[in-house]
Amino acid sequence: MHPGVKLVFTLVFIIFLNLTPAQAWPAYIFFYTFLLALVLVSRIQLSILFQRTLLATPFILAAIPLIFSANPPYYSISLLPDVEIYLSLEGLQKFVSIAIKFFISIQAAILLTATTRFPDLLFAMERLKVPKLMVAIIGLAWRFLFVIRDVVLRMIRARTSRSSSLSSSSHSGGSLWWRARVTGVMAGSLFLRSIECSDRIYAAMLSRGYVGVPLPSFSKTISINRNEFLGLGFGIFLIVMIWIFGLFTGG
Amino acid sequence: MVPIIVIQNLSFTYPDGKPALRDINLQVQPGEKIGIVGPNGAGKSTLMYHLNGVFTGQGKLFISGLELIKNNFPHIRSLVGLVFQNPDDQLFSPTVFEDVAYGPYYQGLEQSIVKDRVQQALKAVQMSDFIDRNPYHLSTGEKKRVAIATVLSMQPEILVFDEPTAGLDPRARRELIELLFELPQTMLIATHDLALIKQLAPRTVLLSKGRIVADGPTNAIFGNETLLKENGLI
Repeated sequence: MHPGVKLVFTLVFIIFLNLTPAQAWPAYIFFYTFLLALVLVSRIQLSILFQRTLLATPFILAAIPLIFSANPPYYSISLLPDVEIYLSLEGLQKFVSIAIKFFISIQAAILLTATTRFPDLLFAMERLKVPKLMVAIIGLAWRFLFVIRDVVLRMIRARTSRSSSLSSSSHSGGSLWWRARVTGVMAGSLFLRSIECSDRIYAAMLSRGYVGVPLPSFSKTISINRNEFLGLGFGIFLIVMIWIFGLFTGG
Repeated sequence: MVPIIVIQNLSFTYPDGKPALRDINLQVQPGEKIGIVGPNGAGKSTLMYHLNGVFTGQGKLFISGLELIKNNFPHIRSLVGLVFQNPDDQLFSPTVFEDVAYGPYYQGLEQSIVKDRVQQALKAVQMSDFIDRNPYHLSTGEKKRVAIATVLSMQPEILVFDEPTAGLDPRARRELIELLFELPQTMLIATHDLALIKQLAPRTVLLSKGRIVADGPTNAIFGNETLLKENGLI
């Protein structure tokens, strides 16, 4: 399928899903059913889909304060004899709504990246008139993410090989504070090396004639065919219908 | 004499399915200095990373009689000092002192002992004057010396070097070779620098495509031009 079709569909899906009001539980079920049907058609292993989703779940934690800070009524829960916390039912419902939208959005993005080569995605962005500079930045970021990942792996290996214990020692490893500090310093060192690395890359680009105008994508130029166009239209129609349904059922 | 390193039928395949080591058998006596040579992709670095459990393959590996199994990793890492090719990977602290102190401090040694270890290690690599400097601002040769000090401070029995002379200018290279010559530990040096091995290592192991294709006196191996050509070393 044309990468542009997949990209537009995914963007529309994520935007309308996130425009759906909180507590529109039936609409969320329809959105997720639609997505799962696409996952099954594209023959992606569900285990891979869920593994990748798990990597992104810590970001949901950012919405946790809603549970304690939304509008009344509040319900108290006593943790210890003298310690009580107050939860807002509305806040809890908002948190669950956000978590569900996040979960489905991430899976939609994973479906897109798992079924589309990255150069094709860049090509699709160009065709959709995303500014060339932004496409170039996304392309470079993707490429050098792997370079940085390799640097991180090598640093961790070097640290691991010196993280030893004497047979007579019963307290190796240092304090938690010291280990946290070492990790923080490593992150700082990685930051400095990343800046140096980007300077070298930029110098290499300049030396080959780069003047600030990104190169166009070299992917084969193909157009969206009629069937793909109709499929995209039908998909967007379904998304809009589910969204309208969500407007009536949401809180 | 009891070998300090025993490797039996070691094989290793990377997660992407690429085989890196095949059926490696090797014994190293205490105090030996051995050159590990071979073309790019021969498996030199992969073999080195097995010596203190950074990588673990199939087969058996013993260091000072201790089998390389997960429970023994922390102790074996105190016996085997691994010096990586790029010193920037090894040096991550704001001062040379903290970098050299990392190993002994992690071992749980008292601060006074850690300080002594750091001073001894920096003295051994002739970098005592750099103790408060930021490693980031040192030259490549100086970084290499500090990287060696970071493992010497753990007082290992075995030193393992991955391309120790890579990126050094002739003077820094000469000084490093002189330093390695003076260190008493058992030494394994993985490198493309055949001149370094000629000067430093009486025994050479030649790796190609993950297998040991020759193991013997350095002079005999380096005198065999056909063998070196076949394995991409000249």
